[in-house]
Amino acid sequence: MQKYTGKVQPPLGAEYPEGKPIYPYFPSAELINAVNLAMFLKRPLLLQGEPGCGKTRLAQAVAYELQLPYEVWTIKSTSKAQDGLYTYDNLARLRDAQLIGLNQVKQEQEIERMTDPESYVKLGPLGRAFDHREQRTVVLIDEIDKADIDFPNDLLSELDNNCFTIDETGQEITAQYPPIIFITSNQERDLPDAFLRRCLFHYIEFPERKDLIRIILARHCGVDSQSDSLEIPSGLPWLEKLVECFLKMREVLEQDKGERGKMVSTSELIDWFEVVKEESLTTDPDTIFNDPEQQPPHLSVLLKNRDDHKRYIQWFKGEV
Amino acid sequence: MKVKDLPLRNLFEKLRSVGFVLGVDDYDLLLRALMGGFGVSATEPEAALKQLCETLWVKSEGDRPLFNRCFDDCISESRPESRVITPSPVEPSDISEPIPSPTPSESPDVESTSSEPTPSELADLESTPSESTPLDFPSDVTLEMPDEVRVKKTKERELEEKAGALFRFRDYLPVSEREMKQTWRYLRRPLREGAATELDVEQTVVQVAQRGFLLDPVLVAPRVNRVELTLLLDVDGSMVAFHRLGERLQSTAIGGGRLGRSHLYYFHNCPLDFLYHDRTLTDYSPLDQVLRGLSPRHGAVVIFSDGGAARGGDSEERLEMTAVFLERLRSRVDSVVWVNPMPPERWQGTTAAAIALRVPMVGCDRRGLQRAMKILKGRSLVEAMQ
Repeated sequence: MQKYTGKVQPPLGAEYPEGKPIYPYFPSAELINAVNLAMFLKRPLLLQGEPGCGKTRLAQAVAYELQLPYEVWTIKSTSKAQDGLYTYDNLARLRDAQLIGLNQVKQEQEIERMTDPESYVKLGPLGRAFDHREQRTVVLIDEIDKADIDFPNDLLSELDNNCFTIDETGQEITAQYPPIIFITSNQERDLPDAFLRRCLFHYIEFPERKDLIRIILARHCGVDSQSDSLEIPSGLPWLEKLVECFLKMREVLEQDKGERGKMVSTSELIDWFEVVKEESLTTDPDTIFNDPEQQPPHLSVLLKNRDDHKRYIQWFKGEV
Repeated sequence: MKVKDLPLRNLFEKLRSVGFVLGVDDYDLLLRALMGGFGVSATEPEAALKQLCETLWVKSEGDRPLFNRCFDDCISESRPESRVITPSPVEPSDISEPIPSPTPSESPDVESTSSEPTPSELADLESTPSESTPLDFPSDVTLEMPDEVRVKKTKERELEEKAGALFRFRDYLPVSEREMKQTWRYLRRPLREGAATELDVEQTVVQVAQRGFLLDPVLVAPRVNRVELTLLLDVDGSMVAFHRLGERLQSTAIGGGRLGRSHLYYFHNCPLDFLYHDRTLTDYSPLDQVLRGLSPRHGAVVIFSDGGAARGGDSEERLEMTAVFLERLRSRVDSVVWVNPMPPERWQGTTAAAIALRVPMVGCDRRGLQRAMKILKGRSLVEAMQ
């Protein structure tokens, strides 16, 4: 059986065929275990954790390492369970039936296609994964809690039996290679017990200081898979201070809002890093983050509302 | 040490007894994983096993502390220091014995593929907390425990004392969070509303058949749940003991329900001309304004108050004020239900009993809440009782 190790990382600047960049991913040992367990038991792995802790990226990283096809199903408030499996273009079928009825279609082949009910089936991400005949597919069901409360329950039997039926054609699609399913949830809504029972669960903790530095360095100068050391390049003398400042900000905001409010996330830290890096090209890098009296630059990348901003500035000036 | 020597079954039973929804399948999953070589480690056998059980059986971040305690109780203490779990995958014969085989009636199987829990599931749920529930924890500990334990504890106390002292307990809880959530799911009025975007295949075909050709497809509005819940919570005074229960009611309605919108207001004893946005009763909206904001068609109002039953006694003044308020409320919305945290047998002889003549009033246990949902969907109290 294939096992996920979390050690295989894409080279710097790696891209998917469609041009999207692939970034390295650093899972914890516990997370790696959970992934392997889910693959072994053929159960979906439900991931929770605060926004920006890497829930969504995991699936991609697993697909990259194991060289498996990857499907994303991003859930919206209007998503229905069936959409992930297939959609049926009734309208096109009606139109075509009419064209044939009016003798508008002459080609034999076209008529054949139009009279075949199966031509109007379009498989969704989960449907395609079930239909894959050569290998397992990694499927990400992103933000499942956004959908209607019935949504997870509507998927139960498909996930249990690894098969589904297309009602319009009677065709049954059974997965020869059950997909590896990752589900993320932001806890906006509670998932039904029946659904939870079929999933394995893992809570992704927010990365620690050294992990944050590792993530930034990996994006900036690639990953050396041989060594675990974190050598900071000479061009970024301010990196540690930036991460320090970021963590302090989280602490300040957490005191204020508890664990409920919006926190500054890893993706915002990365944005911040990019902006500061851009600036460091034109100014002396040693001066950045060096004046304790000076507010950290470009706070607007991190603090997205007035209260947070006010709160942080107050703390910075020592008023709280 | 072989797997069969590990008190895994003890752990499983213990977790079930404190309210984890686990069935035989879940135990089987653990065994399969162990046989697959998961959860074993030469260096840190206990941590590896713990992590495995956690991944399989813990389904939310909130359940983790309780799981940790149960695990420590069962596994750590039972294992003599000198013995180590064998790191090799286990022989199948080793695991045949400890599979628990609860009879179907006691299996905590509350799952269903249907959207609403069926009555039999609900009946199952009632028997979910296993008989070995540890009821001897002090109040402080039970406050952290899952609701099933607290519900059970509350019920036992009710049996024991019947009389007054019951409501002094801080962990008083006549209905569990899970039960509350399930009940809220009944509150829905799916209506076709908004822009027509869904294709109505049948009607389109009918139309084609009539006209002889497809002119344009028949579209219908998508079905949406448009219940707009307004929760009015009585706070302070005799309601202090029920604050947690009120909070629960609100959080489960938002987290577990399928509502179009929801609002929350506070009041003390009886809403007069203002409703408050916060528990401390400082920030307010005029009652008229709130009432105008209620949708006559979609609105549903739940009042959570003891109606004077906690303190006892009959207050003419309170009754009168409440009657006036109810009249104003009902001139705007039909769906109104009063949830009383005091059990029905304690309403008698208090203002609550008189209020119950003017508005459908239910207790705050599972059955009461189920009735409340029926009433909010338009049934009368008598129909809801059936």
